[in-house]
Amino acid sequence: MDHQTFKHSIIPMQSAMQLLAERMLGDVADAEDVVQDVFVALWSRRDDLDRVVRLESYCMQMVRLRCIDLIRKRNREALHNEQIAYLSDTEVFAEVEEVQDRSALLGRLLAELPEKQRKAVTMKYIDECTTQQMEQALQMSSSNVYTTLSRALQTLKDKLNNLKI
Amino acid sequence: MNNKPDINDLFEAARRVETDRKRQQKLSDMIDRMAAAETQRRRRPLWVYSSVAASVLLLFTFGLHILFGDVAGPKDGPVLAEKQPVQPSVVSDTVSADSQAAAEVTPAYFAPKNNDVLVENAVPSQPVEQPSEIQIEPEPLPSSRPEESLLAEATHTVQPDTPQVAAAQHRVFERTSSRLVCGSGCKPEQRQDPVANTPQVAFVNNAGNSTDFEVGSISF
Repeated sequence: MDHQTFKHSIIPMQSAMQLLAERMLGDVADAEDVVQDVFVALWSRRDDLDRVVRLESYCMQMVRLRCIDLIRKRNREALHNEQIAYLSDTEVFAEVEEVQDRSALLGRLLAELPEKQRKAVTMKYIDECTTQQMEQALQMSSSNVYTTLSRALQTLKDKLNNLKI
Repeated sequence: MNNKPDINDLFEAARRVETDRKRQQKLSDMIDRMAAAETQRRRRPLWVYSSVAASVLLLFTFGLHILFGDVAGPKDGPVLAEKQPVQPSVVSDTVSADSQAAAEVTPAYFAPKNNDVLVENAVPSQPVEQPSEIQIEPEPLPSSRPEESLLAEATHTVQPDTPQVAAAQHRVFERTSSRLVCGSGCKPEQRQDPVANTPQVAFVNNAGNSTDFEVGSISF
């Protein structure tokens, strides 16, 4: 498996790998470390990946085993106390898909907002900018920022309630 | 979707997607760096490896020299004549290790031991393996003779089938673990005495002079 093929095949699975590691470890930073470790291991054995039949399951199992190793290093009793959340690949991919669907839905709703409101909502609730940063970026006073955000949120809620899901 | 999400769920999902996008970008950069490093390693010229290997070997050799330099020299040790000028000494008596004569003849650094044969400039730390095979018989030496001629009066016994040799006119000897050799570089030659029809051992020095020894009990 060459460089570009590796990137196009493995990197899209990062979301599922990260989600599985977070569920098992309960820690975002540790999950990131595990996923990065798995990526390095996959890169080192990329020549053998062409023979793997189900690459998704292969990658998820690598994450699962490394999470178990990490838990075992920290607390041996955790394995016996069934404190680990074992998620199947299907559950993980379903959850990832749901997250992506919701994000896409928000994107569609935001697209219907005026530009100022869309920018304000994106900076406040997605990029998590401070009010001061929003004032500078939007060229607004703080009171105007809050007013814009309030109107945008109300519009989004109305649109969301009107959706037939 | 399983149930109808509220607006906060959408924001949460959007944040997660955005975070994952940044993580994927970081992983992509990491893979690019690994690929670049691998390519660079493959293109590294051979002389880099050669120079590194040569440096390591040089350091290793230098380290060995420092660590074991004192004991890694020749087992025979340096020739004592190079360290100390040879003084003509006289082997003028039957020497036994415990005799008073041996103590008088032997230089101070040449500590006698039991059954040792006293040979001038021999290394004292190494014992003679076959001391009984070499005997130095006494012969009265007139005091008027020069020391050079006194040396020729000694009688040695040399085993014919061993390289043990001794030469009185060759003042520098080295005593090794298995044999006595002339420290001046003179080489022994085995000859046959035409008159007595007995084997002889001769030392021939660099100048071409030779001294014959009769195998068994040889006078020279």
